[in-house]
Amino acid sequence: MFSCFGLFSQSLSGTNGLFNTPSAFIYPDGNGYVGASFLPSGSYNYLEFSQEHTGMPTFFTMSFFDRVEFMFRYTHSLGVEVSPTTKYFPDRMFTIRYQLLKDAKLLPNVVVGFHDVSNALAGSSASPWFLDTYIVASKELHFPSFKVRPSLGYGFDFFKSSNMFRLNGFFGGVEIISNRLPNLALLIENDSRNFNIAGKMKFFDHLSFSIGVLGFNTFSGLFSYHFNLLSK
Amino acid sequence: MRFLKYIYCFSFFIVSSVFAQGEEISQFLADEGFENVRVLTLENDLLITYENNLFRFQAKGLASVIQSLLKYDLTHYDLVKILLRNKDIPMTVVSFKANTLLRFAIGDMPKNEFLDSLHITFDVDELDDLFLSIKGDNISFYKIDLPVSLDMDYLLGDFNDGFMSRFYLNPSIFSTLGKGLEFEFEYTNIIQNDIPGSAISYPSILKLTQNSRLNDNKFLAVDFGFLPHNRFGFQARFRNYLASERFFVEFFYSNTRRGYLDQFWVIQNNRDSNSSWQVDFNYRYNKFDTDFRFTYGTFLSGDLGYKFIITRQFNEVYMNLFYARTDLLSTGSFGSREEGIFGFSLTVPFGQSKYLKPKQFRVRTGDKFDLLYRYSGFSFTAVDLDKGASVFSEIIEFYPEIIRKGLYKHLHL
Repeated sequence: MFSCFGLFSQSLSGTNGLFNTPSAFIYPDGNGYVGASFLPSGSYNYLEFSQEHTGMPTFFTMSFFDRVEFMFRYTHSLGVEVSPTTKYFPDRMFTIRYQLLKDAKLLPNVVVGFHDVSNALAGSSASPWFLDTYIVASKELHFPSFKVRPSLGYGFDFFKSSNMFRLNGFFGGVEIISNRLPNLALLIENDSRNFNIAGKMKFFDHLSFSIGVLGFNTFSGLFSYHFNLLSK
Repeated sequence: MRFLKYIYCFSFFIVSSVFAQGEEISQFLADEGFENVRVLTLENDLLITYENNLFRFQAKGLASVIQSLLKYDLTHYDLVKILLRNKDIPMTVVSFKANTLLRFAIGDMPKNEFLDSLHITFDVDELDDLFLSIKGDNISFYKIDLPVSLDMDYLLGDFNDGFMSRFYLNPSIFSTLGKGLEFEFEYTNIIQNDIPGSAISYPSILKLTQNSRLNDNKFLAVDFGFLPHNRFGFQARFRNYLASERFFVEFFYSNTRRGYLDQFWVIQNNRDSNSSWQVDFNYRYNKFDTDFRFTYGTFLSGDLGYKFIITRQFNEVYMNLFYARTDLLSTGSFGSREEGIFGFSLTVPFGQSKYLKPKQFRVRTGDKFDLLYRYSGFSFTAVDLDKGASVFSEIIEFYPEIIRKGLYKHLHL
């Protein structure tokens, strides 16, 4: 089961993860998040707008059955008008992640993830701009004064339907949390293309913020609100 | 002889006081706002039946009834059996030992243990028969309930306007006219609209529904009148629960023509009579209050196909994820006749959690707000047929495990 801290580990994509990579943790049943992240221009791929405009994914993420994570997301290119001239409309996507293995004494959590797979699963004509398929393992390790949550995964084009997938090959990182500051975390990762570093902070039990540097050169961040539909 | 006389008098005193207490409980629950209340004592058991139209969530109503029982001396009783009703139809029985409630009330038994000790069942026939000859208190018939609900349609993906919406504030009238017989009227009232195309405020539903519970957990609802989606005619739903709430099969059939009352209350109809039918198979996974439902049949546009829906219930919040595939040449189908669609919907509670007491006339808020997201918003594939209100609308709230989990949240002594 999650530590209290683990309950706000959103990544920029909107699913549970480090900063720009997914992890193998799934929130307990009934937990959900709404939030938004900021992707610097050039760091994401959506039509021709992503090269000049900041991206803002807005997401709604829910956990079911302690093993399944479902996310619905709209990705906006800020500053671009929806009009017949621009032919721009925010991109929408579904994501499903399933936890194959749960953390045991020696075993890590293992999750398979399918991001933006509406095209592959349901024959939608929409382009999968944020397609990712991957497998990732994560484990929480406790030390006397801190805990570490390493993750290691491999991303590949499972559906052979697009060359736009983001996680291409091995990715992974580590989340470090001091026992004295349990609402703060330091993240270091490689997202299969770049090394990133970030910090996370939680406020008032429900709000969390992350800020980091992608590729050690562009700032990015996210905020999210947590709710639990099964709270007593 | 004298001794026997004392025994007789004492017994008479006990019996009459218990009987009087039953009447007091009945009167108290009726005064609180519960309807169709009947209370009787049988041997050493206290038997209660009531209908809750006071609280939005049935488990919350039951929690209130259980709390009320503690005002009375329950030490005379072995068992307490409570039969929950809906439209005066018996729905679910909750029974427990009187002394376990007393132990829970004084803190001698944890809530978990008390709730685990409850026997909650869908099998109601035997207990319901005992109430047949008893006159009820605060009968629900011929009262007028006027819920006002907020609804929304929306359209995404148009380059001229990225988000187009239409909001409704719809007043309805419900009145139970007899056991299971309900009158329903709804006025579709548009309060904001920027979706292109014609849309009017008009009386959209005017129907009578006979709801029935047959033996062995079978339910039937037959509607006649002006039905949702501008249909005039009749429709019937039959549902058979085969393993309590865990599995059911449902059959639906409707025979209607296009007919409705327009904004001037003038009947509009034509002769394009058509029928719709559906078969549903539903499995409920109680551990996570999740329904896995497979529907095969015709949908709103007459398209034939299937729909698979997973519904996760979190008390009064429902989240649906669906995939459907039907045969339809529809707008946005890109030339394909058969097409699939997926999406999700969200139902959240709306308005008051406790209403005013149901008197002869009552205004209240609608009880839920629905938000549907279909991946292809312009497609007519597998659009659900709104079947209107019936005994099936709230039946999930009467599922034994939902009652138990709801009590966990709402029962506080």
